[in-house]
Amino acid sequence: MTAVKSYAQAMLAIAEADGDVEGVADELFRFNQALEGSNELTMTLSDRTIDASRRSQIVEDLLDGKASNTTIGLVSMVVNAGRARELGEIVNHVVQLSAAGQDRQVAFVRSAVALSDDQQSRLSAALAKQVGSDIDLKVSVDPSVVGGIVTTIGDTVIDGSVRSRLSQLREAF
Amino acid sequence: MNTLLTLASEAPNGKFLPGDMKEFYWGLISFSIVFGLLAWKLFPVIGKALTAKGEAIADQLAAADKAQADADVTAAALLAKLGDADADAEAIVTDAKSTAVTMVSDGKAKAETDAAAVKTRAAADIANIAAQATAELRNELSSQALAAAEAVVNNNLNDATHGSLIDSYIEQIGATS
Repeated sequence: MTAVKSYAQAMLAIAEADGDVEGVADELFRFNQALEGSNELTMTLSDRTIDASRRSQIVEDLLDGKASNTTIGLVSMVVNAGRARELGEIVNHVVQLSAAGQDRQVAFVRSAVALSDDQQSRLSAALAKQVGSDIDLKVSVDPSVVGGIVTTIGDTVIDGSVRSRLSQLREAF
Repeated sequence: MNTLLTLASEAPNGKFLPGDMKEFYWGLISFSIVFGLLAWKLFPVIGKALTAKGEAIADQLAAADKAQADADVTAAALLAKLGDADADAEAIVTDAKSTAVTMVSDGKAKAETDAAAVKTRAAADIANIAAQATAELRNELSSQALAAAEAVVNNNLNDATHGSLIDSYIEQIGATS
C-alpha cells in the first residue's frame, strides 16, 4: 500500500470518528482546489525550510471559520509531514473512499465555468445512469478547459472540452 | 756435299777429287760417323721435339677452335638475350599501355559512380529539405490556424455559449447511457 493510500485511510478513519465523513471529505476537496489554484501557497506549504508550526499556522489561518477543526487538523497533519504536494492525491482517495462507503462513485468534473445546481443535478443523473450507481460530483473550475466539461470517474475520462477539440484540430493538421 | 765438292775443286792438283784418295776416304768415313751419330742421337730428339711442337700447335689450334666455338655460342646466347630483352621491353610497354587503358577506364567508371552517388545524395537532400520545409510550413500554419481558432473560440465563449456547451455535454452523456 502506498503512502498516499495509507494517509487517505487514516484520514477517513479520523473523519468517521468525528461522525461527518462526507462533510470533511467535501471540505478537504475544496481546500485542495484552492491549493491547486495557487502555486505560491503550494510551494509555501511544501517548503521544509519553513518551520512546521508556521506552516500549520498558515493552514489554520486559511481555514479558520471555513472548515471544521477535523478538516483543519487533517490538512495540518499532511502539511507537517511534508506531503503538501501529495495532498491532492490523498484528498481524491479520501473522497473516493468516502463515496465507496456509501456505495457511490465519485465523478471529478472540471469545467471552464461554475456549474449551476440544475446542471450539476442533470449531470449527476446522466452519469449515474451511465455507470449504474449513485454519483458524488466534485466540480472544480479549470480555465484550461476553455469550454465544456471533462469528467473523470475512476480510470474513465469523458472529455467534452473545447481544449481537447482544439488539440484534435492541431493533430489533424 | 757441295762444300766438299767445292773444297775438292780447290785441291792443289786442280781436280775435283784430291790427289790423295786416302784423305778422301777418311773424310768420307768421318763424315759418315758424324752423320750416323747425328742420325742416331740428335735426329730422334729433333723429331720428337718437332712432333711435340706439332702436337702443341695442334692442341693450340684445337683450343682456338674450341674458344671460337664457345665465343660463337656465347655470342648466339647474347644475341638471343638481346632478342628476349627486346621482347620483354615490348611486353612491358604493352602491359603499361594496357594498365593505362584500364586505369583510365576504371577512373572514368569511378568518376561516373561518384557523380551518380553525389546526384543521388543531392536529390535526397533536396527531398529532405523540401519535406522539412513543408513540415515546418505545415506546423507553422497549423499553429497559426490553431491560435486563430483559439482566439475565435475565446472571443465567442460567453456565458450562453458555456451553458450551451455544458448542456450539450450532459445531453450526450444521457444519450449514450
